[in-house]
Amino acid sequence: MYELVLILPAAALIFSIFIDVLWMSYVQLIISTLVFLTVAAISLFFHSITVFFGGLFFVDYINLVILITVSVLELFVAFYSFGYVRTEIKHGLSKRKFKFYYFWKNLFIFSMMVSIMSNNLGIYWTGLEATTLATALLVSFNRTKESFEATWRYVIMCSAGIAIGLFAIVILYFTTSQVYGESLKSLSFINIMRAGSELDKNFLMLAFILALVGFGTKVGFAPMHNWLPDAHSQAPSPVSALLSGVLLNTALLGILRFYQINVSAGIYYPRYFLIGFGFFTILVSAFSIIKQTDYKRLFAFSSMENMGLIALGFGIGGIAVIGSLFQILFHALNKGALFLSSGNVLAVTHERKIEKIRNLSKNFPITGLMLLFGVMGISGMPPFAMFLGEIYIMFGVFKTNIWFGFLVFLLLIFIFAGLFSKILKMYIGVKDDENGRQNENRANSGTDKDNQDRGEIGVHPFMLYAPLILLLISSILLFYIPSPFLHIVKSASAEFGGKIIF
Amino acid sequence: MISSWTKISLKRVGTKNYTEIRVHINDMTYNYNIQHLIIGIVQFFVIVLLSPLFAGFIHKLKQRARGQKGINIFQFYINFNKLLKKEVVLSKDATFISNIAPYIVFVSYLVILLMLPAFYRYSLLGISSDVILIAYTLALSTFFMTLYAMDQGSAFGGLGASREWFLTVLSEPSLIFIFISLAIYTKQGRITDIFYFIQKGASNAFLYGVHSYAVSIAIPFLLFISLFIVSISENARIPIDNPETHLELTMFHEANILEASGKHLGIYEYGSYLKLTVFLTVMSLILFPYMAVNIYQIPMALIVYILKMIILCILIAGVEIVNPKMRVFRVPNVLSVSFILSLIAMILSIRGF
Amino acid sequence: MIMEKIAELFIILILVSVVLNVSSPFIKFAIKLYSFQSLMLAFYILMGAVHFNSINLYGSFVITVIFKVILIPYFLFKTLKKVKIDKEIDMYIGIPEAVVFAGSLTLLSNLIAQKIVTVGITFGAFVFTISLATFLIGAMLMITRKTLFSQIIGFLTIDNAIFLAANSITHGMPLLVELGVLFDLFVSILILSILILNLRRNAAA
Repeated sequence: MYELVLILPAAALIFSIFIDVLWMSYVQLIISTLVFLTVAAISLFFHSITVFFGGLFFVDYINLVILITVSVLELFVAFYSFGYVRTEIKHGLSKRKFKFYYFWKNLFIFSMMVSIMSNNLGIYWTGLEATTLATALLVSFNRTKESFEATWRYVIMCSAGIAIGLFAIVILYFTTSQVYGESLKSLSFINIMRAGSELDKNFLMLAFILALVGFGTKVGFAPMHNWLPDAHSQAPSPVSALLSGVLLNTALLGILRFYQINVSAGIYYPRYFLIGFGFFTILVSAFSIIKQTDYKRLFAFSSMENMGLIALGFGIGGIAVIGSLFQILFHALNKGALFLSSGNVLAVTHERKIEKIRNLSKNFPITGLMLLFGVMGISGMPPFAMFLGEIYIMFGVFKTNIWFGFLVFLLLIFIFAGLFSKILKMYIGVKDDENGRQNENRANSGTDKDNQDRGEIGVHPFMLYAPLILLLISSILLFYIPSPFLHIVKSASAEFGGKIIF
Repeated sequence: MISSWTKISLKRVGTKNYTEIRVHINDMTYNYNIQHLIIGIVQFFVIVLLSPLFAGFIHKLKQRARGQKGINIFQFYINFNKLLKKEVVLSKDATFISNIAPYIVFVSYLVILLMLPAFYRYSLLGISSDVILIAYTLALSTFFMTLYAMDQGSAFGGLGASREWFLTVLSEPSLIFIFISLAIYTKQGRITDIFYFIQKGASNAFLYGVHSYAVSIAIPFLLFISLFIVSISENARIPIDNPETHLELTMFHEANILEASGKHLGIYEYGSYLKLTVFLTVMSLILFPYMAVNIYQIPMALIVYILKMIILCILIAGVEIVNPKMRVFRVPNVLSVSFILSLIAMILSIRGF
Repeated sequence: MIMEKIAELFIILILVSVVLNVSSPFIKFAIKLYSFQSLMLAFYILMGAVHFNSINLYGSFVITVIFKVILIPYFLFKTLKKVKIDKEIDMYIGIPEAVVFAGSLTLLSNLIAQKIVTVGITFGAFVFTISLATFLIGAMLMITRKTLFSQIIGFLTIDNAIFLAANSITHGMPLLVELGVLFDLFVSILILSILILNLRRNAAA
């Protein structure tokens, strides 16, 4: 059963080479559903660490959380892509381009799955680098100057960052090879955890710092975040959703693995690094959000902020870890909904600037509402599940140090205000015409043919309802969390030494 | 000063390894006898007399590579002889500096050559051949040469002096670092001891298989590259300077001695050959230190020395043939590489490997 | 022991080539230097393979030569020919300053290496110092240069440094992992070459 999670995306990858695009979208739907069902079955019956494919891959509680996140978001992205492909082909993009789209997307999903479930840190690294390469051509999908520049920055920075991560893995390999000898065995994560305190602490310290800086580049931690807003905003919207929702978490998993190893060896200081990087990321993103003019970049900065919050939660420990684990899933759902619905606006208007998009409530009734609710969710407002995650994290932070808690809280309010000021303008703001006069009538008169095309009517229904259902799930999860998932999160947080207090 | 460094590196290495070295190499003391004195003097005269030959050889190689017939290889002896017979013309503004500077320059090179163990381990002034003394004696000669250039009151003199110092300021640190890293690397102060130590350690390690701590191929190689660049710049060789032309735009070294004539010019020219020989000898010692310890090894050592010098001459001539003259503003790039390589060599030799 | 000493020579040559790379403003020369540097790395691995008689390291030697010495420089040259640029690289700081900065990075990495690595762990002395220094100088190349090609060169230098570290403190990573890493590197170079071509085309249009 576990093997299926790897085999199915590989099968989709092979199908995408041979099958026509329109058929491929059906195949993609089936395979994504199957992957989701497999992961759901795994998480229903999961009880302990399971190894498969000759010990190269494994599933434990922590990567199961991310696996669930990937499968859920991938399912909705598959539905969305179904509509997206049809809409874009109708608008005149070539089928061949979308064949590439499916190929690279499936390669991306496959290498991400490999990366998440790999027991071997070397394979984890290879998979993570492969995700960078697979998404590189997706980011430059539009073939404009900006998208090529964004891709360049993305590839060069992430490759260099991940190379630093490789250095960390090399040092870890050296440390463990003194216990297990030099073979694949000493890169195996389970073996490393078992070796625990036998490992040399100096080297583990160095390895963690290198891993934090290296993989942190790919997570988007603050001093190394330059590539993130560009890459996430230039990619096609479904890919942006995957990049923001799950790829960042996959990179974070690497840091968490090193953190776990350090904790198991009895080194507890790395949490301060996580707290520091997390806080700094929130700080930088808070001040960047205010001056954004591009709505996709806005959401990209918001993912940065959430990754910072998640890292902060893991660093704080205790109840905040549970919050962080929740946040991994909830943020993916919410950010997926945001990027997908912003994709609707982009697909119709081809406009990225916030000031060019006005009066969404009239032209895009469903999408506009989803953007509004999505932003409510992403800034942690109650009807959506991210409230739960953030409240746990903030609870942990306040318990640790009340002033630090106030500081983080202040920044969160800052981000909330920044996001809302932009999105409200887009939702109910009125466009100025050339003379600076507000003209409300032309925008929603309905008689102009142009304006009809600019509305939501031409959009495929799957594109409208995929993000809506994502938001609905996110809303339901606040009130009812399925008990298997709760169990998984509790057990995962126990692996970080978090106490479970409910 | 060297001894305090020795103490630092002793601490780093740990005493155990140090005693290991002491067991293998214990004849670092001088016991002068008449044999050493005589062979030392002979060695000095051999090098001094051979040095125009090396310069001529390089010149000949360059000319042959350009397709010219080339000068007589002994041409520089003839030139020197001719110049010595001519009278000296000095500017009316010249002070006593102009009279003494050529001799100071010449003598300072002679003093360095007296210290260098070219092919015999006990050179005449070997007991006082401190590496820092050598570095600063070289600087002294440059100092007096530039004083001479400015003393004549010609416009070119001042220009040449400032350019000469531009080069020297850039190459002097790397020269000093090269010598200091040699000293740290072998934990010896005198240049004769340094190279004897390297020779002994290498022969112990590679011929008899005895593990010796301070044996390395890498660090001498690094120093060799660095010293090669420095010697090209200090000796006014082509990528950096071209002494064959008298164009005011390209002159570095020549502008300094543009006013010199007669005996002074001859002495300066001979001094430049000596300077080249000094650098080539140090490079040959870093490349492959083989020095005679007793009288029976001398023929072999002499042959090896001349072979090494020929190889180095060919190397320098090769560099001069292949490269065009470099723009002045690119010179710091090359010299900074040399400086950093010697710095790296020093860093790595501090660790005591 | 002679093997180890010769290996040290190759390591030093890696550092020398990196320093030369910092000092030279020409792209073609930089790619040649990278090829040379990879060859030195391969020879270092070969020395280790002979010394320890390890099949793993022989395999590592072969794939290093194939990927890093031949394939990657070949593709870079091909891209360079298509793009038709071989002017001087623009830099944010002057060359002498950059070289001196590289030297101070070496000093820093020596201090770090002295703290961490005790004598005798690595094959060949001061390997860890050199690999750390190469790593930092590679990062410096990426930051201080404006041309896209030299960013690639910096990235490749970083990668070489990591390979050096992997082959010095351990007897090479497992061959499976090493193959994956080199393949990824190769593909990323291909993608970056494509991007360079597209960026040039966009700039021209």
